[in-house]
Amino acid sequence: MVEFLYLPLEMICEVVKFVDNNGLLALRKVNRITRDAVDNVCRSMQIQNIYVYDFVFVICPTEDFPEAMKALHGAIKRCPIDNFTFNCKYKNEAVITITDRFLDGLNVKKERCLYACDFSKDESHADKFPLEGMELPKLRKKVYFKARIREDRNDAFSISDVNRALGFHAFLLNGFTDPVNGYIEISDGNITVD
Amino acid sequence: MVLITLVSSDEQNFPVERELLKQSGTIETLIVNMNLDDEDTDAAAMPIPLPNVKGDVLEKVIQWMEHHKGDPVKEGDNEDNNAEIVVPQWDDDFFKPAMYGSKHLELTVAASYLDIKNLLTLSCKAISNTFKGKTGPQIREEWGVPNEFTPEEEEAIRKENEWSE
Repeated sequence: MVEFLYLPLEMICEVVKFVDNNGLLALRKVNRITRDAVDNVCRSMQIQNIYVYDFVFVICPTEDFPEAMKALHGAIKRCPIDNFTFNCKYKNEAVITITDRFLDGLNVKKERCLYACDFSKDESHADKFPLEGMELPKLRKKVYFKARIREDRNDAFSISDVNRALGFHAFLLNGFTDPVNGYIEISDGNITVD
Repeated sequence: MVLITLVSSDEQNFPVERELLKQSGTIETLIVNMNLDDEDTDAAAMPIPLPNVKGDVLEKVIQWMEHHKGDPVKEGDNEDNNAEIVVPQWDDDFFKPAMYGSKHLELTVAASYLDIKNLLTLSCKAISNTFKGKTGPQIREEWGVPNEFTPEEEEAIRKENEWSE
């Protein structure tokens, strides 16, 4: 089977597309070729939209970055994201700071602010979300990410649950379906965290 | 029954039923473009050279196409369902004897070259199934692949995969 490694990278990637998530993780540890193939395949899988609702702000009165969001941030930072849509009714410095920190290091092409958010209309923060109304690029895949951690359910998530479900974006395009504690569901390229 | 002759890279001739060749995008394009379908022309008797496929591999490809005659051809990429594709028993048995040798890989490369989508899909899936439930070091050991990672690289990978531990 060592001959597998002598295939053109393109062909190795073709095989990697069929590997399940645990297999992807294992292949990253085999050697540089398989690690690069996995990274290559996963890079080509991109999240088109991240919708962020009230999520952390309800449970995050300070500027601390919640653990689950830290993990999520780490997990998706390698993944190109077409749109980051912010939809939150809260507007205060803590929210802005947390959102900025969440966006920091992510590969987001366009940030967008939905009508429900006042930031774009608030002159003091207009520069934070200047892209309201921007036309969405053509979406190669419909992958929606909705992050909403409700205050009464915060303890229902463990970081590893969030990571397992969302961390490896290969999951998304593989149509992985696995409700975790009833609050994370991934199906047909859509992710709902609720 | 219309037969079309395929010629492998080692110059072996394989007369193949026309109907079977519809599974191969590459050959189908050639047949249509070169008018090989028209029995009234000399072109119909023209063999199709396949310089990238060896005889023993082409023989396996034809055997596979014969078994899958009439199957609907996979349309385009369907990455969404890759993880859920199940390799049918017949195909599993077909691939298995060659799985740990170069033969299966040559078959996969041929499927790609000949644009036989269903064969490529099942072949890739069969290979990917061999990784199931195994760790990186286990795969390395099974394949006889030396560990080329430096301790720094191993540490970096460990950190990157940390979320899953």
